[in-house]
Amino acid sequence: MPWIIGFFVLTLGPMLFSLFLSFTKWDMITNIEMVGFDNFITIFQTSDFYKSLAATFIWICFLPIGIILALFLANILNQNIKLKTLFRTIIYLPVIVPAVVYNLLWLWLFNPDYGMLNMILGSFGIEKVSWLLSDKTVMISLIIMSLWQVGGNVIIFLAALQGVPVDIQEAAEMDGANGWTKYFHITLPMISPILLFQLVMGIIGGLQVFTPAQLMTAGGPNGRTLFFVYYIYREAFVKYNMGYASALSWVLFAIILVLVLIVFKVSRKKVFYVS
Amino acid sequence: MSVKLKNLTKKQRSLAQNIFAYVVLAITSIGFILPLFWMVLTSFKSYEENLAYPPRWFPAAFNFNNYREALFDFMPYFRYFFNSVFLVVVGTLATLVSATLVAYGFARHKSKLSKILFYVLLATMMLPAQTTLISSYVVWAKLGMVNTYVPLLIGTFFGGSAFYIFLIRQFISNIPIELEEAALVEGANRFQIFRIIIVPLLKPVLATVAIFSFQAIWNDFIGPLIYIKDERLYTVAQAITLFKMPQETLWGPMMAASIVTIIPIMIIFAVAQRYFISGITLGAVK
Repeated sequence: MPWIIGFFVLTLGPMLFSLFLSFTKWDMITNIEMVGFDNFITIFQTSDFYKSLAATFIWICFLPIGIILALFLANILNQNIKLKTLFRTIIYLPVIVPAVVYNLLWLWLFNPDYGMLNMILGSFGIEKVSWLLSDKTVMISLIIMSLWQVGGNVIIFLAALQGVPVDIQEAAEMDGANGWTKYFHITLPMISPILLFQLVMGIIGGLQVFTPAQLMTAGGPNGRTLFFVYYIYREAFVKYNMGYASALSWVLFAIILVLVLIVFKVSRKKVFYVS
Repeated sequence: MSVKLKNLTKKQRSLAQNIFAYVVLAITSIGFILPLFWMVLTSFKSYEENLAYPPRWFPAAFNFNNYREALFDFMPYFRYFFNSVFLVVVGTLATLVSATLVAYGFARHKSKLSKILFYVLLATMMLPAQTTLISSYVVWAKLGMVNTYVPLLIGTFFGGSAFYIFLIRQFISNIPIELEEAALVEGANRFQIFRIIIVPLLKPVLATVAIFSFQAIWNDFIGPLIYIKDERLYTVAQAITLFKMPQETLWGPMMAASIVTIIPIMIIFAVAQRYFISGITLGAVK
């Protein structure tokens, strides 16, 4: 079983080493210096840490918008309509565009002077929006961009919706349930495990958002998009504070673990499993 | 009479519903296509046209200057392209072979140990890559492996991502074990069974994993960003960022290079659409 070797060498080993590093101070050139819990204490005294925490949490708070939009589109696609495959392909198309490419593309679209978005808004007489350049709009801009990537979730919901047994729906119709009651009492509970999955994956992925900060905003303006992983990256690979960055990565790990556990705990009552 | 009326309203309601659906889908589709449309238009506009104020939709003339500049003059684009192709081919092949072997082990080797290990495997799916990123980097740097593809590829020789192993294992578990037992009685050895019976049955899931791996390696950014500093070894994803320079960004050539970078994925998507889709749904529904 090669994976066992791989696991120990490539995952467990680095994990332990990273845990060790988080108790040190090291720039990779001078000698490693053991500093105990100093890194962890410093983390909680650094304003950048709170900025990055805030940026990342705001990002995650907007997750439900994407999930609701995906569910909405999936429901529409699940009806009996022509050109279904075409619409599905168009909605999924942005997902296969590499992150680097679409981040740079949106950087261009968001350009206040020469970008497409302000040009379109301008033709409706709407004044220039500064998108990524302003404290107020930068997060919204990145969220708009992330909604463009909603296709993956749409496909998953579509598969889930098609798995809802028709006979149950028909039985409910017999009993006089109308469209909305049917939806909230049958369809939604039936797909709730998928909703949970989306939420958990969204949280894990959302906490690790990196590329937009690296390519589009450099964490700015004013640290509004100093996402956690970008903060780690900057400490480790720009400033070479290896110990401090390792400590940060363990804080991230702890945050992910706690959030995922909370979601599971809360959802235990709400999610419906067939078996 | 009352039945007829009910039918009519039902029909009307479904018509209204349909119109609503088409309107929503049309608006969404236009919204989703526009950015890509703008990318294509930008790639055909001259430098001045891209920085003209106010901006216009269409260039005065479609010309391929940006493509020439992006692919040949500004950078040796195809060098980066083939770097990426190399990584994708080696990485995907290694993933397929090793992930299938590991998954077969997990599916057929039923012991307490393998059960525990399987849970460990699932747990690693939750683990943020950043936790091991720094320490791995330190080790590779000390081994003098920065600026080689070893750190980027090594994982693929050990089964790749846990997610792939998980997908394939689920698939193997659904293959009746009687098939293998029959072959064993006939005198086939374990490896023959694996090659002749298991692998052909796995084709759909292997196609899915191959596409995922292709996409992951082709699109990877943080890996090359950290390990590859030598420009000659850049991947395409990295190379595209070179158009963004401190003083200005060459939007036209950048979009031209972006389009050329997307084309291979688009082709594979067009050919193997159902595997793309089965891949993401398999991951979620299981």
